[in-house]
Amino acid sequence: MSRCDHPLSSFCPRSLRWKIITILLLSAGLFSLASFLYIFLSQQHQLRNELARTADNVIDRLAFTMGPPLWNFDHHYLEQLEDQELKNAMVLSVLVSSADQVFQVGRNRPGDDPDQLESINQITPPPGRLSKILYREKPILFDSQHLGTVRIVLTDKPIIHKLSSLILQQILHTLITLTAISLLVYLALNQILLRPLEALRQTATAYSRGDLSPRTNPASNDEIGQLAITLNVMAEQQSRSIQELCDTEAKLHAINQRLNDIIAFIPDAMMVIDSNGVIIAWNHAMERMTQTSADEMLGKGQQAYALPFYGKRRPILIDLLDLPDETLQTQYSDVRRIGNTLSAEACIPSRKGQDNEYLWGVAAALFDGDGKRCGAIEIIRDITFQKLAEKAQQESADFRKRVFDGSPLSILVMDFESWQFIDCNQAAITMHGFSSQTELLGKTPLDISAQHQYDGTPSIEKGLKYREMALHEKRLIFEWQNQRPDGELWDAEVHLTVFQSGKRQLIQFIAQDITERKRTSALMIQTEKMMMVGGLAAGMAHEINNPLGIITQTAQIIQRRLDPNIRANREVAACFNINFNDLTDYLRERQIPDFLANIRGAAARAAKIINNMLTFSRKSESLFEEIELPQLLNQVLELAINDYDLKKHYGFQQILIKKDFADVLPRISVTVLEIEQVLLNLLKNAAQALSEAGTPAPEIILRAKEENGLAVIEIQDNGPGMSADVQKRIFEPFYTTKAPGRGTGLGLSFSYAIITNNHRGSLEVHSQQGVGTCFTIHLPLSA
Amino acid sequence: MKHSSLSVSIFLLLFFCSPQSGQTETIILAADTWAPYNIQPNKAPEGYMIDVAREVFKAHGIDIDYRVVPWSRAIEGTRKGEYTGAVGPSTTEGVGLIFPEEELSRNYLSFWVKKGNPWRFTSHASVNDVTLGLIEKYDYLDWLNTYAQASRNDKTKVQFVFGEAPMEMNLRKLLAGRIGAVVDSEATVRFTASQLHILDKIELAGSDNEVSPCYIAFSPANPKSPSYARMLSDGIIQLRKSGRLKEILAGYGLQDWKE
Repeated sequence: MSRCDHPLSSFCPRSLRWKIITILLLSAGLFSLASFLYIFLSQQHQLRNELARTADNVIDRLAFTMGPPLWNFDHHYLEQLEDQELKNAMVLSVLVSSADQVFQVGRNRPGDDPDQLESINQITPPPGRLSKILYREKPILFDSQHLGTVRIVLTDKPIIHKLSSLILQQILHTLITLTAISLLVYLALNQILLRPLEALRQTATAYSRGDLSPRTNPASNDEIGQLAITLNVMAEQQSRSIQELCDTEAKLHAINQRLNDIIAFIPDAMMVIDSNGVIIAWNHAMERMTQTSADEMLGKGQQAYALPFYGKRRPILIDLLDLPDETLQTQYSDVRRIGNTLSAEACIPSRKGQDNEYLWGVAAALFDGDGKRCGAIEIIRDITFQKLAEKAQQESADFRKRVFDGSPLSILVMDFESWQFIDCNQAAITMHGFSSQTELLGKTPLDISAQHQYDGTPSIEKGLKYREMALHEKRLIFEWQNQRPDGELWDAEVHLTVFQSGKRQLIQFIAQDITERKRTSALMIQTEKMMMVGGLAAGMAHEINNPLGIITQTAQIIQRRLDPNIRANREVAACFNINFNDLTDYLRERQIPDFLANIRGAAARAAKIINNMLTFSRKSESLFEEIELPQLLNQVLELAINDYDLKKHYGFQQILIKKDFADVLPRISVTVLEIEQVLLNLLKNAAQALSEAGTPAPEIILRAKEENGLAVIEIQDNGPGMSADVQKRIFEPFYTTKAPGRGTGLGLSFSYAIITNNHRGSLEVHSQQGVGTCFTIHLPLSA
Repeated sequence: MKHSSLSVSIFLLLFFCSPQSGQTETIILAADTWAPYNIQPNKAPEGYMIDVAREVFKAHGIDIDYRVVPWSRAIEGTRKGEYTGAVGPSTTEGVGLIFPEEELSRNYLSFWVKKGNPWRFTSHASVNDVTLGLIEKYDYLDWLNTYAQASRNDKTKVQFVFGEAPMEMNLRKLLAGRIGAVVDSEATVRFTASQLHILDKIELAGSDNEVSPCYIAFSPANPKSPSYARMLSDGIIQLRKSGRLKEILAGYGLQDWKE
């Protein structure tokens, strides 16, 4: 152990001995200093007076003795007098000047400032006070005549020298005396105080090393002896406390080690700062994340923990713990506070030169056992991979959504077992007449299908059949008639695919609405059929017209040959002795005239049919003319209202006729008579259907509008409607649902031919049984 | 180094112990300054009496040590043998001294006043009207010596000065108005006033016609003094004969007193 480890027994600056000696020596020094000051002050005044007296004596003597030589201008003698005074060590310079200043004799002390004579003559001497330089001057009188002035300069250097010697002697004397006294005091204190204290110190030193076994024997019953006894008692208690403390420390050490291990090996990056913001924990995960070791970071403050992340010191989540909620919400909206915990995600510049990195952090304040804030902890997790995955997933979902929902085809996914739809796209919702995905999902195929399919098979039966086929073939393509919730039927071409998704077996239906296509196709077939009928009719008409003309003409001739009013008939009968009247009676009796009339009527009807059939084969030869559509429609309505047959047979006046014309309607270029015939035919059919069905509150709506560059005319009734079969065949020639003899089955065929052939328009029918029928005519506008 | 130190020591020993066969003899001449006869020692001009003495005694291998002291001390010191000789005493002043036959000046008393002072020396009695500035122990003419001794205690009649430059002191007193007239040879007053740059402030008030010769007189206490006196007389004659005396006097603006 070094000397300074024994402050009582050594002389190191910390020791008691040193302090006592220092105090004693300081006391001696202070006393000496006080003596010096006392001597200096007392002697200084005395010596100052001596200097002043010397100055006065010298100036008086010189003023007296210099009178005669100054009278005689005897500068040699004056110099001798001045040299005599310069022997006094206090006299520095003497200067004598004549009254007119012309004659001057001055001497300096050899070795002193040669300019002293100049200064003595120029500087106004201060009034006799002690300073480094003392000035005196006095006039020289000779025989009561003022001859000149003598000036002297004195210095206090000899006095100071004398005073210094005196003080030095006094200080040495005092120091020696006090040192001797201090030595005696020190020896006494050493015996009374220092030695017992040294024994106590040695015991205490042993205690400080952890050795509590030594005990101190109290040498006396004074305070030091009492202190020794107390120290012994304290050592006993301390031994017991230390043992308990050791046990507790061992437990705490184990807990601390375990806690440090937990912190160090927590998979998330974590750091802890104390109440001053100094880093006190920086675990392994944080080292890996920041590529910065704990040795570099521990002990650093002033937001040094932001450096590995941002390259500069700046606040991070852990610094926001004390911010009030208002500030947090306004300035850090991404930060969420739950209790005393903050969490947030942050995007930081990449430290690897790639894309930005995403970090998630949570920070919380730490408190000690007294509930006092002692620091904060922050855990940081690199969520870059997760973020990128989410982003990719989102992009994938967006892409799927665009493809899936953007598809114009209806896509439905059905669970094979439950027979329920589990997913669909927007086109499916729209196509199947639903307003939302929720309405459609959970439904079965039967819920969206027509009751029967095209061949009349119930949909459920046909559906089960396709289901069985799909199990084996996996892919099917078929046409299916669907039904929307409002009852509207629509046709679809369905691509059915069976696939496996996990443990579930699913069926995907991709459906395309082919209603229009089928309708167009049907119309095309109808048109072709009409064309075929037209061609056939034209040929037949030429062949039938001739015999029909012969029949008609012959029947007419027979009627004329049997007419009694014709004289030739009577003359020929007379030749054969036939009473013409009797013959007439016979024929009438046998209804021969009626038969002939029937032959002519039938022939006329046949001729009419033939004439109508020729319509299929030739363009209208009537002239097209432009007409306002409302004008045309009003003319037709007027004709219908005045039509005798309509009024008589179909109660047209009981039917409510509604006109629904657009405000602005175009002019159309048509053969007015043909269009009137078509419209009148359609109105007649509607009135007939309403009448036969006994529809209550029958009504016909006549609409007119412009749509897509075409004039659109609709005749809609609220009659019984038509079945799909009827709708498909309604434009076929000779097809009629009327009772035999009530219709030829050519009215709609003619109307169709007029619209499509003669006017290059279209005629469609939309009908729903129990609801009504609507015929729609599209006509091109005027050029 | 030892060898070198030894050589130096031997040289010094031989130098100081060798016989002084060539050593020059020196005689001490003393006086107060009395321009232009004798002025400042070792600083040209030293005064023509000193110049003559140096040339004369140099021919005999004798060097001159000229010292300036108060006149009374110069006379007394020469008498006691302290000095070899005194420069400039008259036979009256230098009673007891050994005089050479040849004098070195023949002086007339001249009276000088401050310019503007109307006093003039017209007769012996005229000195009663002025305060005369005299030099202690100087030999003036008998009548003036008698008057001065009689009036010594009357400062309004005569005032004495002594020292190494008494003429300078009297001229300063004359200008300061402490005395009315200065008495001395005309050459002395004129030369000293010129040196003090006050010649234009004083004027000659008259002269006495009686001649007073002055010498370099030697100490009776020195056995060589008669020899020195002879050497000096012979030397003066020789210098006059050679024309050298005339040259020396011309350097001080003076003429040979015997011409």
